[in-house]
Amino acid sequence: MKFPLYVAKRLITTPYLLFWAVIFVTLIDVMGAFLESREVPHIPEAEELYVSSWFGISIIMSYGSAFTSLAFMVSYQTGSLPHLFRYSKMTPSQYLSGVVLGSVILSVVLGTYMLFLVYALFSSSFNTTFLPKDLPLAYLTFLLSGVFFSTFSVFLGALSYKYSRKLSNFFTLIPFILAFIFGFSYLFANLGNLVYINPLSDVQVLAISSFLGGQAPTGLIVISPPQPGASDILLTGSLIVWIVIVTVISSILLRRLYLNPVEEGKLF
Amino acid sequence: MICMIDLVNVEVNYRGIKAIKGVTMHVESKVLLLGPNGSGKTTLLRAVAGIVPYLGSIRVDGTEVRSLKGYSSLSTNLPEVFSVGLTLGDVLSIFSDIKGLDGRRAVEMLREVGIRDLRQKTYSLSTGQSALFRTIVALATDPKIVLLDEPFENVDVANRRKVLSWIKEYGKEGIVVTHELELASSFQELDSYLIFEGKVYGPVKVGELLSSVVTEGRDPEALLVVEVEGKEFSFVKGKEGKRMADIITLDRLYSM
Repeated sequence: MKFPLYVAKRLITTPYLLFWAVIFVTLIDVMGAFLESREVPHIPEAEELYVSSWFGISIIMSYGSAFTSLAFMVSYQTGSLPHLFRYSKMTPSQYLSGVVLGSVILSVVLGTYMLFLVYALFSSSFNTTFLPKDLPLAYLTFLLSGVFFSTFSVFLGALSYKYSRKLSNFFTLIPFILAFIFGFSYLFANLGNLVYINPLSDVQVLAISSFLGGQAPTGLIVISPPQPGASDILLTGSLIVWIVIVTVISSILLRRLYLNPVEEGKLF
Repeated sequence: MICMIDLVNVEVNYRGIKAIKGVTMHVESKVLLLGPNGSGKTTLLRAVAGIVPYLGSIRVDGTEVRSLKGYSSLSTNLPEVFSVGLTLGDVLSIFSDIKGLDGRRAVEMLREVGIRDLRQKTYSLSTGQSALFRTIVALATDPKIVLLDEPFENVDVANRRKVLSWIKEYGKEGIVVTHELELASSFQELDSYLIFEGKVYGPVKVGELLSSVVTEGRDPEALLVVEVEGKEFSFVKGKEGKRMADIITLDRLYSM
């Protein structure tokens, strides 16, 4: 049980992770609460949707940043894994489970902070109390997101390690890049049924739904005729399917690892 | 008797270079692997440790290394194995969980060599301290088989004596690598293998090897004949010539 606790301890106390996943996202939320919010019509439903959308963005940006740090950690650790999988009690499944368990602790901590942050900033900005209407769904989202992002990070770390150390910076930044793309595309496009296909939209829309109390729209852009809200069950199911796919691929990659020195990533 | 480490026609290709060429070795006890820098000693250990892929067959305690799982009775001090864990304390904690490391014994041994602050990052250790730390962690798991790569590298004289005594105390079988013949003299009773340019020669008793002389060419009475840069060298007893023990490091064979 020491390995998951070690992962959680290291993730929670890494200063770079704290900056990007907490402070940077806090600054973005401050902008959302006090600058961007001036355009929002003074209609309760509009304000509620706006605040919920920012909660979704906060979650996806925070997790995207945090798990970029995890991908870096994994790409450094994978030198020892071929040996430890053969010559210790650690198996690829146990390694993955350890990383996931540690990451879920982090994702719940970050998610709870984001809940509090959005409540505090946006309630102050709009002079109205905004509390999430479906707290169990919020925590289920944090849990599933932690599992998805951690297995995705292991997948990316192992992929860069196995095939190209020179591209490792790109591979490990993918969670952050995707978080930006999908996080903000929700504000400017209606993704429709595409939200069920990509896991980052699943996370974001589930987070929004937990704030709204269900049936989050598939984008902030209103289209005619009005589309039904996203199904929480389908979103959760899609995320679980992605978790299974990425976990299986990660397990296969982990079993086939061999030494690829960090120095192979040197460009000049 | 099952050899603890059994290599048959092993080849290791590393970045397009054939680093290990058709090696066959049967290790039933603790042996020394002696060779100059760049001869393939570390690569061979990495292959046995499962860190690099190989062609041919390497069996540890009867099981092919490629298929091995959960065999905790082998330990190594290779640096690649220690990339899990940020501080010395982290490594000790993780290894006690997954490798059965005796944490208290490890901390005692570390104190004996002057490493006391377990909050230090592993990469902040000096080269000698890092070698000591990794070797101590490997030995404190009380392994049946040890793979030790240059355990004395950059280690001061006083600590070398301690490491020597620990290597004799821990691990019934295994491979200890060094290129320093002076240190090999502490293991007179062990078998040794020589490695040059990816090829392994031996076994021969360390004591016999050190008391032999090196002559150029193939001698029919030689203990061993090795090939170095296209030339053959014979290790012979009872003849005139350059004593092995006086060569100090095997790199000097290249200049003979």
